Amino acid sequence: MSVEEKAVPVPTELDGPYWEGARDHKLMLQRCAGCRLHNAQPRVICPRCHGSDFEWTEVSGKGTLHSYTIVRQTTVAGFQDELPYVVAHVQIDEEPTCFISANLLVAERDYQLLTIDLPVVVAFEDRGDVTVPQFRLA
Amino acid sequence: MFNANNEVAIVGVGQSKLARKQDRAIGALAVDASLAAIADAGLTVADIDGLSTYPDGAGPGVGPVPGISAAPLRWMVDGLGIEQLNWWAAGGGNISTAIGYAIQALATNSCNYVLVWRAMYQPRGSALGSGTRDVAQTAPREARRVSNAAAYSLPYGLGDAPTHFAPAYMRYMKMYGAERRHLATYAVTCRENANKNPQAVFYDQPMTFQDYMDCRMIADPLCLFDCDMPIDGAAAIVLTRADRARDLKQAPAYVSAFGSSGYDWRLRPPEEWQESTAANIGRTLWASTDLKPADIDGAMLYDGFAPDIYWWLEGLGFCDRGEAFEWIQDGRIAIGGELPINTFGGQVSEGRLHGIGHWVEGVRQIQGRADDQPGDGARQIPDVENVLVATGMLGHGVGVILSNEPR
Repeated sequence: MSVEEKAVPVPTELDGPYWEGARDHKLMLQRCAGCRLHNAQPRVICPRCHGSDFEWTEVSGKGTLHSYTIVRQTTVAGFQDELPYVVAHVQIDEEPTCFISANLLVAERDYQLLTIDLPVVVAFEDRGDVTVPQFRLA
Repeated sequence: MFNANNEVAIVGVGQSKLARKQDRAIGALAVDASLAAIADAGLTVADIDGLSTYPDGAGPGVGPVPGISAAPLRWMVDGLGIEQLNWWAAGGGNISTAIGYAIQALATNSCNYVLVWRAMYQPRGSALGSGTRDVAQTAPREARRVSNAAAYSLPYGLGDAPTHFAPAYMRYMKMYGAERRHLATYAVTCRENANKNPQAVFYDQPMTFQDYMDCRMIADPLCLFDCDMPIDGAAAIVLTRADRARDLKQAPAYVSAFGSSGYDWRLRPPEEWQESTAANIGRTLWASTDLKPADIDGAMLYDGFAPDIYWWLEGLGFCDRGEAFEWIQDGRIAIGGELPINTFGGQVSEGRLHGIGHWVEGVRQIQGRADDQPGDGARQIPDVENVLVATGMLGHGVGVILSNEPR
């Protein structure tokens, strides 16, 4: 199945800067203007300080592979022909409570190298009009 | 902590036929299970003045309509022909929280007899079934535009339940050195139990250690036999106050301890959601009673995926963190062992009733009725006094100790 058949993220008023940043190959995260807590996905209230003022900031894109799975069977549209693929949970360096889910772009022959807590870095995958943040081994 | 103080008991259980695919409407299956549970308690529909279920309002349909896997509360009022309710609840996190609400309602005298049910329907044509049904059946074959949370998952092929649950197990294995062969013990033990339970969808199908090791991977490290088995079916339980319970047909299964977990995961990594749920239930459960893990004769623990057992055993304090994969070996969790687990086969081998199957078996065990159905093998836990039942995951859940006498 071709790339066009995968689900396409459509930015909302709340997370526009995330996807606009990705298009420019920058990993932009929402951050609380008060306590500076980074959010993996935008919030309207900060769960740490209860502030409601937020700003967008570019982060390094570096993180660690908190965990992952190698997907061998899927019903998700556009991914049947991609099997196997890796879904990763990445803990970003700037924020220990911020986890981003994405694919780890790694060749199947290198699956044997995978383990938890490996350093990873953001990579950007252009899919037509949109770009999605991904990760690869650092 | 709230502990129900032995004031509430489960007094009746019932199941519909359980099978991979059934033509009977899900609402009819839910009524089958409910009528069985009411009769099991020696009651009639007219006695039921409280209802509780999960989920709430899953749409108007109760027939075999793809995507609908519930018999909603309002539908059940009509389906059973109930004329007046004194109390009801619908929704919550899963069926265990619906049962928790019922226990609390009875402890506060809000009603006298509560029926709780859960019905599951797996749409035809979806090989993976369960939570993936919407993706599998409604995703068009061209690009689907997704926003909000879906924008951070579906474009990454992250949608099926195994993909969500596998990373926690992967991290556990890497941290503690657990291997697939360790979890095989759980899967094979459950299958042996299911082979003694004629209701189980795998009643007639044995499974060996080698079958488990050879089966295909779904999302590493989860293999096919680590996943629960989607089925069509329903189960129900009836609860009442202990003073009324003593006059009914079956021996009461007293709620002698009560634990719960609320949503406590937003700032935790996904790998900790399940173990933190289990730990929260354990913390509140043991704070509500003088009973200790050593007093527990058997445990019915939610197993949507087999490694859930590790989070439960560690979170509930049966062993320390990182120890469960070794703790379950050498017959310890088999019937006749120190702590028999999921004696009915669990969801991996009886079928996926989304947690209520565990409550049904916990009651049957504490009432000494686990071998009473035609076709049952010897799965009754000997000399049973206390059984721990805990279901729910991902933040929400309820666990209780069921006892054959007030404790």
